[in-house]
Amino acid sequence: MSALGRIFQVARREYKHHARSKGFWLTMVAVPVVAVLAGLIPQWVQENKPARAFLVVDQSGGAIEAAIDQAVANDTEKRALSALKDYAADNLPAESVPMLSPLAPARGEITAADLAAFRAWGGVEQARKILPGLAREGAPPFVPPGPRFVRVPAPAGVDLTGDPAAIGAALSPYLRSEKKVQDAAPAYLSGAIIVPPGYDLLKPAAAIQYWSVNINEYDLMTLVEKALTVTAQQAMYREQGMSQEAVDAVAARRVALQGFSPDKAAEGGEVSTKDRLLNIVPLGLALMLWMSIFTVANLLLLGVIEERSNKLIEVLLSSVSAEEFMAGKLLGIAGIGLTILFAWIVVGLLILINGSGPTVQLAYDAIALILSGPYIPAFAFYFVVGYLTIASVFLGLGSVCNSQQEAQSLLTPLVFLLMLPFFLIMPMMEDPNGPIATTVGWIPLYTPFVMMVRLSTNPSWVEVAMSGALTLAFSVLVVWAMARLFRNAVLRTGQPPRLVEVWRMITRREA
Amino acid sequence: MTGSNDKAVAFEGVGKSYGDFRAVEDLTFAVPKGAIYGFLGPNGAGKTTSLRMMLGMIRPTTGMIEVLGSDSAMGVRERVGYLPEERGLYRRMTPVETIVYLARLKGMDGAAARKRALELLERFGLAAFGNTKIEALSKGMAQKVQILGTIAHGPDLVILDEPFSGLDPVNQQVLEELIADLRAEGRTVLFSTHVMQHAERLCDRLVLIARGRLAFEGTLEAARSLMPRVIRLKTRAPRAALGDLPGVASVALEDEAHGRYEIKLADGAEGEALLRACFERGIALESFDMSEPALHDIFVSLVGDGAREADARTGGKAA
Ligand SMILES: Nc1ncnc2c1ncn2[C@@H]1O[C@H](COP(=O)(O)OP(=O)(O)OP(=O)(O)O)[C@@H](O)[C@H]1O
Ligand SMILES: [Mg+2]
Repeated sequence: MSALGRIFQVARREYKHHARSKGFWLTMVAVPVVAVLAGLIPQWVQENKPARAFLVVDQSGGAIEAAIDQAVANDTEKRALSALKDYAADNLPAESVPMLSPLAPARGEITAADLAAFRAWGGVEQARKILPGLAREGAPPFVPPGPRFVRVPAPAGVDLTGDPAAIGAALSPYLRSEKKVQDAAPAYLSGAIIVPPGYDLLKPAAAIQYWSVNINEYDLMTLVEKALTVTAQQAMYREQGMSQEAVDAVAARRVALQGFSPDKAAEGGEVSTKDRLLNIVPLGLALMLWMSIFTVANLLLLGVIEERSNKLIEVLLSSVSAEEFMAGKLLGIAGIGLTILFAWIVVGLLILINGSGPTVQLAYDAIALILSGPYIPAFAFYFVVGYLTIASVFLGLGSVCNSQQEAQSLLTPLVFLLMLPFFLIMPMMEDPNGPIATTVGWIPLYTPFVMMVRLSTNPSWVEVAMSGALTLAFSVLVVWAMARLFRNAVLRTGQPPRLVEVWRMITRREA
Repeated sequence: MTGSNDKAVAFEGVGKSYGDFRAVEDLTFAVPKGAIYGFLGPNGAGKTTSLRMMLGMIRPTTGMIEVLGSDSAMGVRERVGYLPEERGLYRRMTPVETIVYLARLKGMDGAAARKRALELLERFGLAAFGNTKIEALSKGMAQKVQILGTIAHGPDLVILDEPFSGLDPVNQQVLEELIADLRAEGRTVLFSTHVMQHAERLCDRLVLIARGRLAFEGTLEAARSLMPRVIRLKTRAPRAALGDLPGVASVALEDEAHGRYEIKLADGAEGEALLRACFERGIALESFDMSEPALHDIFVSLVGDGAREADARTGGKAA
């Protein structure tokens, strides 16, 4: 049998062995699922937080209480409007979206004017009425999210006439959830707002107090602060003699900045969300590159240690040369790495196909971007080069270690070395063609990662080609050195060699 | 090297040094084709080192090695099967997978390797365990699997480093039969061992090394002739009468009360001649025992002192 045949046999066993392990399937399926969940869970939690009960003790007359009620109602309506926007993007055919589009701006926060327009249009009731006729077939019904906060009346028997401190003390068992504030949900009080007597928005003296046991829960506080600030500002405009119309016009005023880039000069220079993907997508690819290489390189290390400690290596080396064995292992594990990458892509696409909404749209844009640029061939090249370098170092490391514990102490500095570009992501993103990014891009070990990140910022092709050639040459050198180390070290027994001995094993002429 | 047609393996002046330490020195011997060849020597003698050099896994510092007519075992590896001293298999593979893999590495095609694996497992009583993971087998069973993996591809030369260690007496017997069968098929088998009985029963020729140097090479007969022949007899005759007999080198009295003696014969002297002389001189014998010297005694007499020293030097480092 030829050397290639033997390499293939080793690679095949390696592939089959790992493809049968649980870890392989876990990595393949769990990683995309966890990634998707990590993206969805915070949003889901935010949307599905149960409404929280609060009460207001307004000793100043009732104007503040009314303003707070209005703010909470607005908040609920805003959530309904933004949910309606998402629903329309997901479930309405493109041609019927314009019918709803005046309701909300494409970008930016929903303003009082937007809300007013929404209300004028008919609000949630109107949406409920017309959506079933517009939505695609099989679309779920539109369910607006409920309120985040519910104002509850003061529980009977609590004296709310004293000073704020006394009221706070009287409410204490409710705030601590020792007593229910009402029978229906939400049954427990999460906060109380106490407005001192004589409080005047125009000339505030003592502060409005917010009582709660959960000092990290700012949602209600922020909402009320913002709303009262606006109310106070508008009252002051009015006091200065502005008409209500003028005040409303001020409130509806919005200024937006539009981003431009010389790279987009041909299309007028305007920068869109899509273009921002240009920074994010290559970084994502670079991270994927590095992570997939790491995941499988570690398998090589563990594999060789197993073969050494199980004394398997000698049987194998009577059939294949150390170089063939190493090549077979590199090939087989590369196959595992590519299978995992491929599975990630497939699972990702499956999630995309079955999903919808703005995030999914963004993902499609990202794919279009990847397909339009040099990313795929670059990824392939950098994967091969980076994989060969890192994987053969892990193999070499395995060939001098007798146990995982021994490997661990050597692995720590190595992993730190390999993780170094992660610490450079921020400076690299801020200035992709700056001195840090350019310099590190020339270090052969880091070229694959760094150049992958920088590819979208049009580095000079001379730089890309030269650094590519350098990293390729480096990778060949490393594989060669590790092959020699492997051949000389793999049959050794006893203590792992010191660094000088490793050097000698690599450089000496005869085994 | 010349005349290698009838030699499976030839060592000529082979040496191996680790730094200043000479593990093997100036080793010259030849393994005839079709023979069972024993590789004997005390711990740390250099047996494993020599076998590894034979397989091209480590390179000799000096000398030349020829295996099956090639100057490197790597060139003919598909015709060689090797069982290393330290055994090990992939724990999560089954015996069938293991044998198929090892055979395929030696160039067998998949279907043939599979058929052969099943055949061998059947023949050696492991058929029921063919698809059990190795980690669930006993050590001895795993070792049998490994031996089968060594011979599955039908090698012309089989090299076994201490194949008997770790096997129970019945399986040692099975292995002896297997080795004899391999010879009957015209293959060459070379094995190292500490257990002299195996070598005694099986080997056509043997080499004995001590502290890296050749102590003896030749047939079992030649090895025996190196030892003075010892005869144990019982008689009422006086010791002096025995000392006068032809061909007697020395007489030692073992047990005065019963008249038991141990007589060492001079070089070239025959036991039968002594027996005849006793009759002729009218020495009445109550018993006469002239069993051949055991390989064990030859081993001890050739390398005994050296072995102790070598053991002290390596301090148990050699496995
Ligand atoms: N890689 C090595 N580096 C240094 N010394 C070694 C190495 N391998 C073997 N030796 C030494 O060479 C000598 C011969 O070892 P070898 O393993 O060949 O002995 P052996 O005859 O197989 O012994 P045993 O019967 O115990 O298996 C021993 O003294 C051993 O310590
Ligand atoms: Mg040995």
